[in-house]
Amino acid sequence: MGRVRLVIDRQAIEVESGTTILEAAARVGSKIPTLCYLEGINEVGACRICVVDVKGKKEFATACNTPVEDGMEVRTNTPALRAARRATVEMILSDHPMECLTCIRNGNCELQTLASQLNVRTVRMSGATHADLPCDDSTSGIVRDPRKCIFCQRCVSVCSDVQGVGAIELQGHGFEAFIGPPPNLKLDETRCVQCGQCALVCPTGAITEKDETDKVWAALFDPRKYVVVQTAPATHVTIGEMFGLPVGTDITGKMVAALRRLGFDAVFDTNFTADLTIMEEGSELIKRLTEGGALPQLTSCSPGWIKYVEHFYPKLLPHVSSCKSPQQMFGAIAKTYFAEKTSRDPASIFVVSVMPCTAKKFEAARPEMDTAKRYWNNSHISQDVDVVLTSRELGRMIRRTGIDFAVLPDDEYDEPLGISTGAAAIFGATGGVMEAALRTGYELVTGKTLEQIDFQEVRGLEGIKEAVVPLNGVNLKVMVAHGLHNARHVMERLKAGELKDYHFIEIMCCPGGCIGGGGQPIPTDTEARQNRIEGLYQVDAVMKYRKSHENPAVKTLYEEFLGKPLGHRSHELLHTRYVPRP
Amino acid sequence: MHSGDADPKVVSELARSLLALVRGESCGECLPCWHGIRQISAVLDKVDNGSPVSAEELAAVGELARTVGQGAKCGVGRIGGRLVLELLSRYSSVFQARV
Ligand code: SF4
Ligand code: SF4
Ligand code: SF4
Repeated sequence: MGRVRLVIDRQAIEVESGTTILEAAARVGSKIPTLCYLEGINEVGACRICVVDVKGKKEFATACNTPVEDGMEVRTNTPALRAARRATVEMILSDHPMECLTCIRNGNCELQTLASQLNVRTVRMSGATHADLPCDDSTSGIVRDPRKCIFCQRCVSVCSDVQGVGAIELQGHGFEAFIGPPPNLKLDETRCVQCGQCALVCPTGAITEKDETDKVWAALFDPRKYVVVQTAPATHVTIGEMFGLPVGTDITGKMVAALRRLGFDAVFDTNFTADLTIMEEGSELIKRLTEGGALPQLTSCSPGWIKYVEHFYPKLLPHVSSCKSPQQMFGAIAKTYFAEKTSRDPASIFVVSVMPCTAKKFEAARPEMDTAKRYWNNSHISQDVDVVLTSRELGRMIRRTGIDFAVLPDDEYDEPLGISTGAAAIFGATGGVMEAALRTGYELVTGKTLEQIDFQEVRGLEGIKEAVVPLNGVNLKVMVAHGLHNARHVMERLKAGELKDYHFIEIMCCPGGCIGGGGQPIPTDTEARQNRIEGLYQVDAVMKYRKSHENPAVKTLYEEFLGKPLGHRSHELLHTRYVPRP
Repeated sequence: MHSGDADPKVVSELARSLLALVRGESCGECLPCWHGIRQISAVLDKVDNGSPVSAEELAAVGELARTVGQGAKCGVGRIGGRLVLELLSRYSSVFQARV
């Protein structure tokens, strides 16, 4: 690639050819405002906020998708540009409900920030066309409020290009166009997997998580309820962002302290059941390898991914592990084992999850996730997991109580469902489940101690990763993919019979794994994903136990209650089934 | 365009029909075109049917037309914006604030 010399805002600069004006300008210190732009994902130039003046050109160019040219002279901030940008924002606002004060994105909204930055003080036009569009809250995980949509198309790009689902599109044409599922369909009537990636990138409050904080407040102040909370691995390094801590900071101890102050009766960790998942899923893999069964085995922790397979590859469902996700294993164990052990009425136990994920809300509501009700044969027992809060919702609850999160002293999880290992900690990163499984699988199969427990090949943000691990004379071939677009590649190959010699494949619905989940703090971009992943590996590195089978509480659980992995009780409580969906 | 003693009715009719063409062609993908042409049309409709029009509204139309004319993604919006600007400057007597 050649070099290109140009002048931006009177500053000479030399950059690689192919660089956009936006990137080049940033290097000379000119931060051009943008709205629809999302690096690498949405570069359609729809909003026209990033317009710049290129000498000799009659019309403005959009900086986000115009490559630099040799000899270009670019101005990023002239009176005409300022006027054009402000006029564009004014137009958007003329068709926007001014509900900032009651909006879920108040204080973290790109439209708000832009209007403020461009000093928009009046809206001289009227004529709302979207004011009457109804809210779509048909799914368990996300809510669409099309009145707040500014047509940036980020959600469309993410849903079709990153996730390969295509549930929401630009519908219609011209002045009647809108963004959403096909006309007359609600989101739950599409193949939307409720991953929430659209909510993560939406600059406004037009797509958000379904807020269920009020249900949790009600439970916390209900004296008849014993409210337990579990925190997903990926939340351990993200909640701090909402309180000004550096991205990727391990806030486990502070989160536990905050949850206790919120009034939870017991503060537990999904990491405990992540270790349990490894015991079950690893045993399932060994069983398939030795006794037969569909291979490669596919992981099942990610509910968006499960829904995706149910919709798009129902014939390949036998490959998917029958293990429930750690969240659902937790719910089942809390309302059976824990209830029994502490002599509590299982109907009084209220399980709240803190998850990085909107699809977890969908998972918890799946009709078959009522194991405890069936186990006790008691219709008063609710779903195994009662309410799922995303990271963002927990952040809002903490903020609402006025807890000064950043200065909280570290606190410890309750026992026994709060004990976990480093293997569980890394579940939140792409490749983490695989690495955890390899650490345990190796030792269970060979009976030897694993010397090198870090499996670098499966770490990192590469879309599809592979490794070969020698195991008692067999070369275990594994693969890891994250983001459903990458998953689709894997599934197409599996369908075509090209993956017959692979044994185990980890798939996570969201890019980067759960640390990039649709319920995580906004913004979640590549840099944030990287920092959070690093945070998780640091957590792992300093843990007392780093292999799931070493978790003493999990051992006790098997001794006291479950018997052995894949045993009768495990099957009843920890395994599940899937349904083909249209 | 000739700018002699224009018949206001003819001029505003012309503006409206030109914009109608643009509306028909607009794909709906870029914001200034989508919102801008719609907002401009709304004001021009008022001029056409004799409703009150404020100086502010007319000023906004000028700004929007300039924004669309220079910043729209494709020729459809750009031509629309420029036509409006052209009409505004040539027939200022037609596009007067009215109470
Ligand atoms: S989406 Fe943004 S601008 Fe719109 S009401 Fe919500 S906070 Fe305000
Ligand atoms: S939740 Fe995921 S699948 Fe559903 S519309 Fe959003 S991006 Fe698409
Ligand atoms: S819903 Fe959000 S992300 Fe999608 S087009 Fe509208 S504003 Fe953009």
